[in-house]
Amino acid sequence: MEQNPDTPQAIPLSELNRRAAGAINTAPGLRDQWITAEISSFRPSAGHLYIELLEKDSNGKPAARLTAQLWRYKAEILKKKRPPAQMRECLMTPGRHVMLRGDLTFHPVYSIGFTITDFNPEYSRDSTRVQAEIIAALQKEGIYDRNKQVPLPTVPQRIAVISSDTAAGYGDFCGQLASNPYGLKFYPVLFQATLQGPNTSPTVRRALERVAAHRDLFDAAVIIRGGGATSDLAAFDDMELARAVALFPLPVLVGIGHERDNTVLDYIAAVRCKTPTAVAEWLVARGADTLARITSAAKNIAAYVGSRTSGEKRNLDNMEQNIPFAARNALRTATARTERIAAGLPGLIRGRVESARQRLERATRWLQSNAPAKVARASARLDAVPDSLRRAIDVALRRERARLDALGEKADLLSPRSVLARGYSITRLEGRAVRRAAAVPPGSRISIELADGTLTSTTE
Amino acid sequence: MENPLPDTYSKAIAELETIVRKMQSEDCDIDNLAAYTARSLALLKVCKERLLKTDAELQKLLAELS
Repeated sequence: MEQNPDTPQAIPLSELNRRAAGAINTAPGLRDQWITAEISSFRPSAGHLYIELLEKDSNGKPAARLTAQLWRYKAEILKKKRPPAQMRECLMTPGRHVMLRGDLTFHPVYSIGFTITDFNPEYSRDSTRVQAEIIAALQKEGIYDRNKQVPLPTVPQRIAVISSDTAAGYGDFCGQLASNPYGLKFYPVLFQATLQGPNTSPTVRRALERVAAHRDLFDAAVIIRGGGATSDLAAFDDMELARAVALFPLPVLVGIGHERDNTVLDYIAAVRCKTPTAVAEWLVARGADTLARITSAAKNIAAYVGSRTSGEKRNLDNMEQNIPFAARNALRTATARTERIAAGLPGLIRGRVESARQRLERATRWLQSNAPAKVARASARLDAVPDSLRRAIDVALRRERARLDALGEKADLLSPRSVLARGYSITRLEGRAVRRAAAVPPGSRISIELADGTLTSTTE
Repeated sequence: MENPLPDTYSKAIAELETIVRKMQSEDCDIDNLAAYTARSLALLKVCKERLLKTDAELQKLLAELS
């Protein structure tokens, strides 16, 4: 067929795959290689075993995938070395972490895959079961809860950090503590350890020992590791390490960077956080919380003192203003009463005298008008009465009359008119009767009432 | 009230909150107020310094461990 000169030069797929196979199957580091991975799924077929391998990142998301296969003839060879039960447990359990030996191969038809030649049964342990065994052992020793019961300081500020300075977690951790938004001060000190592989347990334990030797200088120990494959976490599921953490004299905080998978330390440490960042946030939150409590207590005290003292001041001001007023009032009331009484007295006395005088005058008038009639009537009746009696009555009448006359005279005498007529005068100063000369200062204008009129004069 | 200042935050906070309670109860008279205020200011000062001011001595001491 004619070829259009613009058509690109194409090779058939088989040629491409042949080239890939050539490259991959001869590249270094891909043959007879041990790898670690998680079993995502498996499928036996015609005596072969196809396994989907998976690796998850610290957030549980897939970071790598590969198909692996255990060919039947290879499986037959392997069975001589490994019991079938072990093979099944390690290779045919989804979620199991495995260590496999094999070659990365590219097959033009079956594409890329990992051809399994062996596996490490030691590695492929059921982490949940391993953890359960460790926990059970520690519970039997009675130390499972020990670290959780160590008193946790209110704000751990002096922190022994067991980590690796090459690990991503440590730098971020210190940075977060140093630049927290509350200005809280922390004092982290690094104690170096390996955080993956077979050296994890011994180096972390050694670091813990060093911290324990200076325990008075620290408030807490922190084990942090950021990132890394989840399969590396198996290194922390170690009996000796677990025991060391359980028995540690300071509270241990762990932040071994992973979201979904646990290590046994997560169950044993005093505080478990998901990541190193979460540990830093936890510490900062403790400080912020304490700061808030102190601040609110201070505010309460200030507010209370403020209101008490302004309340007391108001009381004092009130009292200060009220005292003169109250005193003045009392004084005024007392004075007014006294004046009223004083003012009333003369009137009272005059009134009494006056009413006595009036009674006397009435009696006199009555007698004067009635007595003669009565006497006449009585006399007339007397005429009907025997002489001695008449005489006695006469005498009595005469006595009465004399008394009446005397009373009348007295009334007369007492009445101001007759007093004045006899020559007495009433001297008045400022409208009031004067009784004593000493009460009249020289140069006073006085009035003198006589029976028929009034004179005015100035005293000398 | 004890005279030496407490060495832990929890004791200091406990004392501060006790003072607040005492002030709010009707037993607190004006003379006590002055003493309580002085004490609470001292407690506040100590706590805030520890939380917010760098302790250079401590830093030096810890640096020697590395």
